[in-house]
Amino acid sequence: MTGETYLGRANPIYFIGESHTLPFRDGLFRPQAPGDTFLGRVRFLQSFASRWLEGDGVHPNILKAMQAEQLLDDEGNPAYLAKDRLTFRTAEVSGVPVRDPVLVLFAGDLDVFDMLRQTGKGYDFDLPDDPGYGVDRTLTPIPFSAIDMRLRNTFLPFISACGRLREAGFGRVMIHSLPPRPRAAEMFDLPGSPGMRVKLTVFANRILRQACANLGMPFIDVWDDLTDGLYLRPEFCLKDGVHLTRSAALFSWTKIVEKMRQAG
Amino acid sequence: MSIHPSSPYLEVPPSARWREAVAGRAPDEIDPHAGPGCVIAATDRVAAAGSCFAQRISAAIKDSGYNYLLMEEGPPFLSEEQKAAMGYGVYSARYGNVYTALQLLQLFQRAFGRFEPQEPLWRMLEGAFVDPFRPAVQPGGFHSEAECLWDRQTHLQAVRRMFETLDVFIFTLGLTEAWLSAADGAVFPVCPGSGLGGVHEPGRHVFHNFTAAEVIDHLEQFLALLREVNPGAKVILTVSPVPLMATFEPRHVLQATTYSKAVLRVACEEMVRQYADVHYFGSYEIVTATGDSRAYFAEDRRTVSEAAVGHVIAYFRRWSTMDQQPAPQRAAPAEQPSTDGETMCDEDKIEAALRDAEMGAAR
Repeated sequence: MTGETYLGRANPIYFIGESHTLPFRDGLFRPQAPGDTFLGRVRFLQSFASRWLEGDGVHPNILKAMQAEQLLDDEGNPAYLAKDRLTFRTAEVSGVPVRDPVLVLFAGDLDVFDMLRQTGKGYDFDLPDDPGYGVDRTLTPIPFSAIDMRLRNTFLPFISACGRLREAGFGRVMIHSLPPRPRAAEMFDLPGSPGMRVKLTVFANRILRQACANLGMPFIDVWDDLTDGLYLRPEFCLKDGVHLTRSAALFSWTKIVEKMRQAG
Repeated sequence: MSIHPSSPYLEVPPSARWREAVAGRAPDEIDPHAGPGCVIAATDRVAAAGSCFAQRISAAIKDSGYNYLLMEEGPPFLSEEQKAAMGYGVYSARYGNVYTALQLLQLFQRAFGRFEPQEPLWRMLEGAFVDPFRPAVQPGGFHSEAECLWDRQTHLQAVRRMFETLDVFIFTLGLTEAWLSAADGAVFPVCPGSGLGGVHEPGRHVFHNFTAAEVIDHLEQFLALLREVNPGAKVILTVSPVPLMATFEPRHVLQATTYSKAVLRVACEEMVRQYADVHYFGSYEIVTATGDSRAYFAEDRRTVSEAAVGHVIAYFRRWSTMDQQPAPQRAAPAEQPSTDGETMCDEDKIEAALRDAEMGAAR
């Protein structure tokens, strides 16, 4: 042996959903407090938006992604719940305990962008309890109730699917917030008016947070860490004005592990 | 007895004689017009406003290939049904039902900054804010005063653009009874406190039943203002055949209805006789006076049937184009009232609210 080092085992955390999963791909995270190392296993569902239900069940694309990660068996049941000899033997040999995997799910941003593409730059709306974004009243108003109705209807399949995964036995499902928006919106050729873009995101996160509270599920919210109070800090923003850097992802990793440990 | 050859009635056309024009004819064969009316070209920009019945006219005009003006299209990400539920696309702008001539006049005045009513925004029981001049357009109300006022401001800008650019304006007069602000005479589409927001205060809100002279005056003022900003605009007036849901007069609702419709019909006639660019279309006559109320009203004797609307629109097309259209289909037997598109009727909402209140009191 000439200096090779075994670095130990990393516990997988599964990130499934839209492109905001990508900064976590193959990432290794070790929290400050001594403990495990975590590995990001990412299933990026391109152009999938919030349509996580099909008919009465979770959408086949989600199930396929989970099967690819061996989270589901061939019958679509949680793999870790298979109380067969092979499962326990595998755990014994690999040193990986049998328990429900951590799933961090991402959806909603594509839907927000879809709304922004439809509205163009000529609209704005009044956000209740506006933390300070204001309104451009030279633009055409969209009644807040229309925004509310549209976003709640849009997120319903995703929220329902998350609930079904929990019911199926995935007790460590989390929903990640939509990312904050950069202040200098004019630098990026993005759809929608700047006000619409950021306030839609804020309200979308309110819906997701409430859904998590109703489901008893953690909501991974990193806005306080990544923003100046209102807007994404420039150092965390990729050049497209949409996606976050890997350094921003560190805050998500920390929050995820905190939530895992709180839940036991 | 034989008629003398000098009798001027020998010269009247068949349409002027009841026996030839009405008696013995099937309802859908009766056209209450004596000749072509207001010709609407394919490129003419047509706008519409009025009472609940006007929504049926508007919908049919939109579907009939006319160049219907739509100044407030609503959020692009909503479906057409969702937009209609929020008052978008029901009329040419999101003003809701306009029941009286004074309401129309004041809508114009407000759009051009000539009248700013003092009435504050109404509140719903749940606390949401309501525009007293279009209380039904935002289901559930607006969440803040600022949101409501912003929406109103944008709406009035759209109304202004509508009046400035239209070629033809169709207005359906519905009522003579109304509630006004005692402070400045601002007229509301519905009484405050009737289930669409607001609180009725006897000192602040007063009832008024407009006379023919008043309706004529309001229409004349409106026409004068319209001509200032759009001299070429043509106006088509029509009277809603829908009876009153309720009257605040101390008389039977049938009498109140007859009075209202008579006043409105007289006012329309005065306008047509005085102004060459004002025309009357007889939807009231078509629905109420063709003699077959079983086919043209539902069992409640108030909801206008699809057959009646079909008759109205078929003859509107014939009346408003140079070409003779084919005769409309024979009216179907009495049928269920139309639920197509769910007409947004403030009076229906108020009636439902009254019934709920009565049931609550009975418990």
